[in-house]
Amino acid sequence: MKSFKYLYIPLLSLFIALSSCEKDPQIPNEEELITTVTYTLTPVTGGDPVIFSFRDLDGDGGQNPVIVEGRLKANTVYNAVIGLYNESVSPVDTITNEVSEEALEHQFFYTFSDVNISFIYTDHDSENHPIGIMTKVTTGEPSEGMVTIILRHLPDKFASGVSDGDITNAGGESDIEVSFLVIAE
Amino acid sequence: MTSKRFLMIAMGVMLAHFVIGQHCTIQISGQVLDRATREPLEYTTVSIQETNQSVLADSAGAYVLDGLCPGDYHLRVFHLGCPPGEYFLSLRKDTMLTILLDHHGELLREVVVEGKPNSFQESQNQQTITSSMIRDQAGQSLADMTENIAGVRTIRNGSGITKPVIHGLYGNRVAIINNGLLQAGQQWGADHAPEIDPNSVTVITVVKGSDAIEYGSQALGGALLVEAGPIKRDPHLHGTFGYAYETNGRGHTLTGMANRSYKTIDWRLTGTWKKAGDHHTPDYFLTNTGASELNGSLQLVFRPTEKVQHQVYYSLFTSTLGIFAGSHISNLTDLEEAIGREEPFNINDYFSYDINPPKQEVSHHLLKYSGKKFVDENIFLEWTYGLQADHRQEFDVRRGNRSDIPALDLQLWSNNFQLKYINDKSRVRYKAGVQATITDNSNDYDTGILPLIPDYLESVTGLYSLFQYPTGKFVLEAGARYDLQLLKAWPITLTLPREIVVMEHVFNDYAFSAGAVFKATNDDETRLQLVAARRSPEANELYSNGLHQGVAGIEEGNWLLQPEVSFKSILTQALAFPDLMHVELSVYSHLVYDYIYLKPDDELRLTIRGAFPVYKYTQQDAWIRGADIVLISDFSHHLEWNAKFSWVRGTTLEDGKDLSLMPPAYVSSSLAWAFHDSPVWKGSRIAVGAEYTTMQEYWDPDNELLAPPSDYFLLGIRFNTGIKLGSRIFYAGVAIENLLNIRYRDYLNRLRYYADEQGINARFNLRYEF
Repeated sequence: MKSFKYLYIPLLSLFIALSSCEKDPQIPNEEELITTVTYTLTPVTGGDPVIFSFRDLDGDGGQNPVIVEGRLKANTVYNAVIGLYNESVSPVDTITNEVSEEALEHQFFYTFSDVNISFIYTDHDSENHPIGIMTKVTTGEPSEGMVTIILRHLPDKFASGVSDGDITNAGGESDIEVSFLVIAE
Repeated sequence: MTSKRFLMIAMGVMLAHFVIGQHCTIQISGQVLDRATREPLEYTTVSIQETNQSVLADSAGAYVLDGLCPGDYHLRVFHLGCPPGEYFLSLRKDTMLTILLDHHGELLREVVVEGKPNSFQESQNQQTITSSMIRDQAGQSLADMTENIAGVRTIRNGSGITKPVIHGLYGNRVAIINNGLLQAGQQWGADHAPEIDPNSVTVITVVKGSDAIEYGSQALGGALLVEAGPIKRDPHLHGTFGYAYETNGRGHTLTGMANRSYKTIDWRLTGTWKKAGDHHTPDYFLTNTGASELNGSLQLVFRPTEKVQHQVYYSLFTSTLGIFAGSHISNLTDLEEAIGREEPFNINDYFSYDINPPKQEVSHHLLKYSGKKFVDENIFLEWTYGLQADHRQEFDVRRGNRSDIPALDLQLWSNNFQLKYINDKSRVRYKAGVQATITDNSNDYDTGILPLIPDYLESVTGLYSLFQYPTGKFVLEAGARYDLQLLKAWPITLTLPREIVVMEHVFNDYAFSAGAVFKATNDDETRLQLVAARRSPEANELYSNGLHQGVAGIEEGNWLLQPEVSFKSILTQALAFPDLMHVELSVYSHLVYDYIYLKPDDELRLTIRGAFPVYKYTQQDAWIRGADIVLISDFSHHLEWNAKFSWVRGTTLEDGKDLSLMPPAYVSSSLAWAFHDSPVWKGSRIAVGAEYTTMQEYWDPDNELLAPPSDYFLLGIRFNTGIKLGSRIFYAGVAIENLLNIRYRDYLNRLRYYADEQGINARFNLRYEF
């Protein structure tokens, strides 16, 4: 089996050659990434807006997200607007524009729990179903609870309750799901 | 007896002994034997196609055909319950032929000398699926076919994506050897099916034991060998055309094969086209579970002299597979919502062949050149070069018209060199070889998504040797292997700013095996095998990073992983009770130190898309043990009964926690009736099969999102026949699966969270052989 020796030498050198091999990988341009959600509530009667934000600049994994929460006034009506951004690119990309362009395929859902707050949709897609980028939020007596904001991609907007903001029968895939502590005082 | 000749045929080997003869008075005589048991097969019809002569073998399996002129003849052999066999014979003198038929396909091991050296594997723990079984199941996937073997189950993602699980292990621990080359695809993914067309294959072998030595560290849990197989040495053009239709999914499969042998050249060509649409459960359509495939292969064999053989083989596999629309969820909340539903989300109430994102598009090229130089009939040197290119694209539903851009786009190249020397003649038989593989995996960065596994280069150089020593009633064997593995990976950081890091790993893998076969009598054989092996972590275990949409989990590699060390022992007892029963009992124990597996983190990870469980690659000592039992009746030629039972359990050694995705205990049985041949109907057989899968009671609530589904019982029926019209034979078959249209879910199917399994399905199969 002399031939083995002769073959093993080139195989070994091949192995050594590999360790000096280089590849030239590139970092993908994560243009679809959403790093930031802002939820801005401005009193209809005027005044300073209250801003909630969820910021995770490096995406899933890496550093933990930074969450900023605000305080609302009791018995007040707010105009609320959602902002989605990709802050990992420069200039910052406003993803909310993509959502409004594909309004038929998207809907935001708001779930307020343990807190005296209600909302109504104030925007509509071309089939007159809500999108949920803009809403009107009304606070009641002072209370404290949570709000969960979900953006569904490809929900069934015709399913029962969905256009009223009930997520139960919506289906689709969650592109955004963030929760904030809300205090109405 | 002046000369001996070997004729390679698909179903067995005929030994032809030539005696002196005269013009048109030549005689063919011999015996028909069961290949597995070597018992005579009585009442077998042996006929000559050219002269329409036909005789019935007697109770000892003996037959005589006489009054033949010298010339080329095609012999056809029919025996009840066996697939009909066709053999080519160039007749010059009186000839004695021993015909071996696969009467007990289930029992078949590679025990029989295939003419040319192959007897080395005599004591291996392996089972084979033959070409007739493959053709009768046309339209099914490779992994589905292997489920016929005890101890083998499949892990799946819906109906189209299946991969084999051998003795509880799969993926990186089951080597798939495609025509002698380690299949270089993305085998790590539980939702990645092997990129192989079963129609291009004539033999599928499942190896559970000590063959790890020859196939490298990936064969730790076993190996699946698929072979195009030798081409019949028949100077006429032969082949098959087949069509199969299945009602569930309205799937059409067209298969074709042609081969011909010349004096120094043989060729074979195969092709497959497959198209299926949405499958359905007893209650609803599984929207977007269609599949399409287009495959082909070409095999050329050159025999410039009797002692030298060159072979070129090329195969192409392309497929598009839909992923069930109802499994398209994002985070844990979505998943929990989907689990509780009566009917899945996103399904249509109509059938469609459309395949939309999420879907997979895969192509796999394999090109191989190999040469063999025979020193002697049982001593040869074989050299091989193989090139594989695997392209995998996975599409997701994405925002902003990006659904046409793959979310994962991997291109893998693999170069393989091998040299093997086999000596089957010396007192101690041995086999030795060197192998070198270089793998280059690249991501396409236009996906706009951080890759699930990074770019990497990997080289594995290995040396192995196996020895076998037959002495008295024993066959003793031993083997050793060494691999040097170098991995260089370019992962991207998870933190900002994104950077590419260069990582290098050097691993040394070893394997040792020892075994003994004790054949007390012809009817009593005991086999013991011990394998110790070390497997180094693969790129996905070290560096995978990303979200698995279908299971709402983030998967994270661990670059500090060390090789796992496994000790497997298998004890098998085969007993034959002549004219009553064959029994094979196998028990195994598999200790894996530093077993690499995915372990869920205690805390959920908060992302902008909600909370996700995080699964991290971890190492812990594990113990996998199990038993397989096979019973096959031998009391009647007409009535056949068989039963199989498999049980396996895997736990961690330290805290005794159950490993996930271990197949639940399973028992199956089938009862068949073989009809007598008539002038028109040949080899007709009807079989009723039942299988019962228990609920997986061994599971760890920390490891599972959902309790395993309950047990289920399935009933099926199958009828196969050959129809002889003139000198032509058509083969036809009908098989009905899930006959009772049972609603059930399977623990090993990833879709169990969302939807039921397929309901009733009828497969029709028509084939013409020429």
